[in-house]
Amino acid sequence: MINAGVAPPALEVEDLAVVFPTRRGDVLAVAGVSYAIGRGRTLGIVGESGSGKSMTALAVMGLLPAPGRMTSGRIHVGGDLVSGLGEDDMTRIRGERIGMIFQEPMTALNPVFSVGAQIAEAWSLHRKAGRAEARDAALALLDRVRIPEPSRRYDDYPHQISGGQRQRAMIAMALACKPEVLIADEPTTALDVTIQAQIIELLLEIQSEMGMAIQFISHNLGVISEIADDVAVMYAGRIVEYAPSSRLFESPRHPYTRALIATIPRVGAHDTRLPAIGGQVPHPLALPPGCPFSDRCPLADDDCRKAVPQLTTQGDAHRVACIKAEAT
Amino acid sequence: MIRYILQRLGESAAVIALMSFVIYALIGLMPGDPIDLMINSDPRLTPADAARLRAVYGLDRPLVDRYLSWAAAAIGGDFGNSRLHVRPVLDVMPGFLLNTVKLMGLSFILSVAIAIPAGVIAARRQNSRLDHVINLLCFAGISVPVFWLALMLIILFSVMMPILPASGIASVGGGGGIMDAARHLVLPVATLTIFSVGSYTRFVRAAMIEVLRQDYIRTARAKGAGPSRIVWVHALRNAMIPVVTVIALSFGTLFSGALITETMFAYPGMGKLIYDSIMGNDYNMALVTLLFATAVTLAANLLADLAYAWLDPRISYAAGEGARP
Repeated sequence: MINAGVAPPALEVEDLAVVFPTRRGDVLAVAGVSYAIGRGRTLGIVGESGSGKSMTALAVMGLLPAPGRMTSGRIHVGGDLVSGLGEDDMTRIRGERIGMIFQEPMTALNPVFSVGAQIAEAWSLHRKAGRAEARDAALALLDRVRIPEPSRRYDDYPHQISGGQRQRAMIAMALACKPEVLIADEPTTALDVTIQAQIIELLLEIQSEMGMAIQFISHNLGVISEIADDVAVMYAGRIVEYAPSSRLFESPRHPYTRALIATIPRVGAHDTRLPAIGGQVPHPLALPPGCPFSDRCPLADDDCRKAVPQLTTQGDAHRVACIKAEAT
Repeated sequence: MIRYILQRLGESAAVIALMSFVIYALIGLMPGDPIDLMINSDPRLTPADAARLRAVYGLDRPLVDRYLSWAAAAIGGDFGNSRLHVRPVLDVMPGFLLNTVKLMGLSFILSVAIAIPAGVIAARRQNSRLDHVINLLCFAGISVPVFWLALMLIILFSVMMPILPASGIASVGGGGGIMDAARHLVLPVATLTIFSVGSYTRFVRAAMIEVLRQDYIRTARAKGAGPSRIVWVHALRNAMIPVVTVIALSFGTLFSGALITETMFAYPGMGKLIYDSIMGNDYNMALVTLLFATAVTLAANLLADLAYAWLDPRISYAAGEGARP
């Protein structure tokens, strides 16, 4: 799979499946997802709540909440297999080779330790160095994520700084050891729009400097369009469309992606009602037969309900899981 | 911060002043008085003698009058004489207090030293067999009455297997030194520890389970902190915030547990002093010892609030800064 001489992708996920056993049966939260992100590239993963995008990320981190577990899949970071590693080995990889930032920076930071100490810890967990060096490293990171007056902010507690600064501190923590992969799970959702733009700009700037791959998860297509090189659209635990960003936004093929793009509000279109996608995300234990989107899809017919469509391509990088997708 | 402490001390002083009257009145309402006891011990006393004695001791005056003259003397540092010990109250108390500090201090340290690891282990392995065993032991400790536990320990370790002394703080004939004193402490300390360790463990477990669910624990794992670092560094400090309050508030309960324990083991501490002075109508002694118990509880609450601010940076008592969410 990995050819000698060709650099392996920073993150490669093959056929990932995550199951949550419940009293009423096993819930397939992620149902066979594959993707790869090259060094310095950004993959946007978009989908509604419950589409499996966060569970995909947590599975990569080895942090699936109990009782969830991976039932299949192989995860490579920089060509090294990391799925199936023991807890000790995984602990060494987290923070060192894969970093992660979360949606709500207030609750994601420990309230009883100073921001600086938490960043210094992220650094020193993977480096053999003294306190003073860890402090210097944390100060440099605070400065790198553009938090003004790092030496004064170092001793601040999370509740003493603004939401935007908290997310900057989270980024500093996740990038403390210059990981190859950064997973960002809705990192801007809890922030004001102007702060959102600043955080995205910061991530792109650090990416061009450090060259890490970013897996950027959001339910917001607008944000995804600003940051992603490639986009994967998830629905009911599967990737239904996977394409370079420009292709996806210019010529979406999957009816779900088209409907999502149609729901983005546009400046100047005050007089028209925003379209909405009819129906609801199906319950994971009551998926319709065949294509999981079939009961909400305007194009669906009996053929759609026969089998789950697979991601296919017409010879280019644009892949779609829909038998009705027209070639564009 | 200093202002806050001074304010709290002022409030505590007011509570103690109020309590002194309440306790004084309650003792005054108790059936019998010291003169009755004198009459009982000397059948030749006539009702006229009794009335004269009551006048001499001021017991014929109204309660409020008596309280005010006691309070005036107390403010001057004179808490009166102990009827039973025939010495000033403040001379008698320190020896007993020291014994109680030993008993309560040891069992408190022991309880916390057992409760924290046991609660943390139970929380980490929630619903495992080990968790169930720890819970069962906790509920056994919480449910068993102190006096019964004391009796069982005496029967087991002093009667059936006579390896430990059942009462007092030193062997008759003395001479045992530290080892002898330690042997006398074992059963009372064990009783009081079993009495308190169960609820402490349950509190630690509950707080730890709550904290281990928080987002920042996931963040700590995401940055590569190992399981023991997560528990002992990231989670424990957060879990201690509610635990400290509960433990400090339970100090009063520990004190009353000490009262029963000391009585059961004839251990000359504050609990036994309070008990004997109430039973013996030793007004001055009962009043001061009960007030002291009040002061200890108030001090424990103040210390809990200060520990709170020390553990949780979101809590600040500094003037003007106000509480943050």
